[in-house]
Amino acid sequence: MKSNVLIIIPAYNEEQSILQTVTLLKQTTQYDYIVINDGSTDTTYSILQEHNIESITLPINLGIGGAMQTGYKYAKRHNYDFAIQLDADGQHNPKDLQLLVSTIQSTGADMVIGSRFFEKTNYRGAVTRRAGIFYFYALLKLIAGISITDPTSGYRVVNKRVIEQFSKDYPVDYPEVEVLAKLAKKGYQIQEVKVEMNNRQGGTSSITNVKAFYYMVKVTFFSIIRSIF
Amino acid sequence: MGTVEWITIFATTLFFIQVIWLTAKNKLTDKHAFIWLVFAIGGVLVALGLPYLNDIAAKLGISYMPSLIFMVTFLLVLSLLIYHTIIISRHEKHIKYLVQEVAYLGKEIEDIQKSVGKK
Repeated sequence: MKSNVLIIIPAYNEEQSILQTVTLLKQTTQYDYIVINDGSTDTTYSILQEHNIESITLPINLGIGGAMQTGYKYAKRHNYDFAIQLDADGQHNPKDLQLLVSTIQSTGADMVIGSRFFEKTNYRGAVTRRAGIFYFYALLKLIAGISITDPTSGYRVVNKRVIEQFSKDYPVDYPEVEVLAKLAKKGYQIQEVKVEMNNRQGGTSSITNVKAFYYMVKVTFFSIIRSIF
Repeated sequence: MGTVEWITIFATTLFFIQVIWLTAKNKLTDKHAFIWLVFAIGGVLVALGLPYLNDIAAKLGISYMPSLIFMVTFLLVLSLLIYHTIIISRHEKHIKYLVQEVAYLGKEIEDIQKSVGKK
């Protein structure tokens, strides 16, 4: 039977971790899932086909924003009530899925974010990364008036209203913080719950120092501009 | 007319011919061809009217006439660049939409093939 929750797993060159992530997911939950293979150039596509994993393959790489939006469009077309982003690299723990879904159902929020900082967790990220997260926390507080302790967390569940919204408009790159500013401006309710995150199960982070700088400048600029106009 | 005027008229006429040729060969779509034709005709007119531009520049308080031409040209080219960037951004959106649709339809076909195979 079809579930009313869709788990969206964006994957770009995740041959080392995708099978493990999906296997663990299937063992942990009954929710539907879809892997969005974002034009991977490694063996991700073959792994998906070989193991009969539910997936959509984008013919070219659109980036995380384009891949996630594909998932939201799929969720909208198949009339799902909730959609959850789950990273393919194994950082997001599927055991927290139920908590995310029960929280969004019980609170009536439009989005619930799995946070590493909402309460004390075992997460020990690099100082620079934590500083970046705090910067975005302060930025959102300033421009959108919301307190989100983990604004860069991709582990988040959204309801039907937001699925509809994201199907129409979703930032192309580094979407996490920007969409929070947009949703807050439109009056959507955003909540957080504590989750534990794992280290990457494979591959390396795509965010280099230069990209991190671009990330901060880009998100700051567009969040401010779009919160004013 | 001096040498500079002749060179300017020659260069702008050459540009005008190039635009006409590109339009005739369908290398430019009608909308863009029209914009460049306006630019090319404007260029020829400016080249023909160079002597009069000295007076206009003087009336605007610009002592060196070529500065007036550079300023106007710079602003026009800047506007054109912004216009083209808008078009590129629109095309990027369209490409993203099409890529997503192609992928989605690919998934639909796969699902249909699977269900037919099961039967």
